[in-house]
Amino acid sequence: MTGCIYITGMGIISAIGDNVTQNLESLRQQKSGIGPIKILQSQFKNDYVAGEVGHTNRQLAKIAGMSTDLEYPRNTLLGIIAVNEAAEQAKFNVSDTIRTGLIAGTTVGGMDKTERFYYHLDKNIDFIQSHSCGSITEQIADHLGIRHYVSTYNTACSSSANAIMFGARLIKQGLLDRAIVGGFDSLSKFTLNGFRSLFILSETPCKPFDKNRTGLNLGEGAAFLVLESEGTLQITGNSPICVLTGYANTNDAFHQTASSENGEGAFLCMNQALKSANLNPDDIDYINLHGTGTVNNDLSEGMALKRLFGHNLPLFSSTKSFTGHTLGAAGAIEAVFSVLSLQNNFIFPSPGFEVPMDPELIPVTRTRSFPGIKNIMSNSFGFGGNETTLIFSN
Amino acid sequence: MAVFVRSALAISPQNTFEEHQIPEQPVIYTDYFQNILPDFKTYFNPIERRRMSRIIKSGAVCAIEAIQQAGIEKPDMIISGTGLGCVEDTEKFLNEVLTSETSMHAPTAFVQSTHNSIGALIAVRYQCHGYNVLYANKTVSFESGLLDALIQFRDKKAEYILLNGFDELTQENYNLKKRAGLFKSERITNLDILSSNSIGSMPGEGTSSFVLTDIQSPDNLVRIDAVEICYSLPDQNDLESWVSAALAKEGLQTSDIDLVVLGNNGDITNDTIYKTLTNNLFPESVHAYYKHLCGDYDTASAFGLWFFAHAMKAQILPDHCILNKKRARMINRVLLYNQDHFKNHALILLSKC
Repeated sequence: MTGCIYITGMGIISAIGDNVTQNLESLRQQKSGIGPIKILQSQFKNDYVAGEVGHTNRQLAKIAGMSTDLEYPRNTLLGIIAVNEAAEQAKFNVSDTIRTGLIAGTTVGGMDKTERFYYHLDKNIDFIQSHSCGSITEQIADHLGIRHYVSTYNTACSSSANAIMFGARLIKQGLLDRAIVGGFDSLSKFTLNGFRSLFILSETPCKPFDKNRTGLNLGEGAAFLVLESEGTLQITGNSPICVLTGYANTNDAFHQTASSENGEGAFLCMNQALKSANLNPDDIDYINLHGTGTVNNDLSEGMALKRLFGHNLPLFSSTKSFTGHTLGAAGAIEAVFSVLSLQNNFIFPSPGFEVPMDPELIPVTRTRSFPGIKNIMSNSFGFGGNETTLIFSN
Repeated sequence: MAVFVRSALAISPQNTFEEHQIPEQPVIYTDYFQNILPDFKTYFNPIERRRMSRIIKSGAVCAIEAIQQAGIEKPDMIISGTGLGCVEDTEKFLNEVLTSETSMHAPTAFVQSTHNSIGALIAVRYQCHGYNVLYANKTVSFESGLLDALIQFRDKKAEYILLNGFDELTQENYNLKKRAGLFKSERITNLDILSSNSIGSMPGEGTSSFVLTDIQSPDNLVRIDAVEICYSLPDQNDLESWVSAALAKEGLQTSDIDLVVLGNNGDITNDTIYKTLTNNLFPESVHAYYKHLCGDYDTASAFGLWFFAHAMKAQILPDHCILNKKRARMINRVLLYNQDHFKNHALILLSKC
């Protein structure tokens, strides 16, 4: 067992920017990325808003430095853009002495390419090879030259949070020296129609924890973080941005799609994450909520917050008001936002919040500075009661 | 620290579930395999049976029986692996969306298509609030879950872990992959896959569930000493060094392995890798395989573990599994090795207990 898990690099692409700098600027200026759907070819593109990455696949391929002649799944391109940025910051190079793993979370894998060619097999049947979740992670691993360990989680909306947690556990066990962890999820007709069929898609920008919330907005994107052990830092010479101090995974064990009224799974998860970080509830300065903006999630998560923190709730908000719900990528995207908060002493808000659903649960509504911010908790909950909480510390 | 298999259940193309023992006489298949399903009536009411797809029923029943046979009330954790998840539900919803997007679709297929729906179902049924994850990483999906489970035991986080591996073959998925050239183009039966001398494999399916524990008991089937996964290796020499190093970590040499279980699937480009490895490293061991029983699919190695856990416990090795002409007097140590076109190498090391 080795000690701390250090974060030495990160990369992101989301509806609010193609890289870390752009994302940070949008968060600071409270510029939401939720708007009309322009790229996804859905019949419902005019009925809903989403946090879409505003580039065609061809444009994404250019940004990623990939061939624009090949039909990559959108997730491969988003993933490579984010992983390139993270790898560059952490001075990643392929090495046999630093055992490196790539661990990702996703829910749709290569679904967008499958949708394009499922009824046009004569044009391109290759989609069958890039459909699975794991095949996208492998394409990204091959791009980087990772050979030691590659793995993929699909636990719905907590997928990439689980990838981050597992990377940390593998390093702690001494099985890896460095882990590139994160996730990706592109918009697809499959998920848009899926969430529509559940009546939890909002036609207007989502309002997490607001009394008048009407559901979630889907989003897309990718984010990766580089985790290193103390020993690896000495080889790479990286200076850590911050530390991943706690994590936990629990299950709500209530329903395939709904969350329990008392937020049992979420409560257990946050509580266990605190224990794993050796922290008390009042050590947490800010919580990046799961906060999707659905009636059910926000009630359940809110109840869990009240159970755990009582009347001493830390500051909290949901940055899904900026990016939409990026499903399997959400845990990683919000991990990057949490690290940015620690790095820059800022707390990012839930823009658009108006009327509290509960007078005790009022999120941060304006970007505000927080000098000396120390510990941030980030929640990711998913279908099937899959709950994951991560804690990042300065 | 030692980890044991307490119970192992499999629904497969063989009579593995009802008879609960390794098949002496394999069921014969042509071109592709299909699961032999149990009677689901004893497990689910008619409404549930209608709503749940084939893989969800099979996966859930395997898990329920594994928990039952382990003699525990519920597991502390649930870990699953699948290459493609619930394919039938995915196809159903995808076809609906692609043919008439604007119609109103029932959410059932979408919800059930989420990969971890079986793990979630078991969590609700047994009120398991513990760790619950799903790996979807092609042919190491199952071994990734097993690795996670071993780490959980090492960290003393669990006493009983339910580990599942599942993948299904639908007609639609078969047709697509056949057209893409992934399967053998000639007609083939399962007992002839190794003599086919051609590329491509014969696809199959299966769901397997295991209760793992770190508690000693005469009911334990086998001990799991190690699992090792490596995404890619430069060449065959590196593969041999990697396998030897994995054994050395456990204080073993290649000659300590009585039985090497290989992932031969009848694709000549794939199977030569096994042949070179066993000829060079394990000339004295018995070499065996299992994909002539279950077919080729992402989590076939879970069936491999099911088969050889029971084979070790019973000390029985049917002739149809043996690749070389050797026999072992006792099967004390087994090494399972699977790979996919020289990627996703995975080892599972078992000992008699």
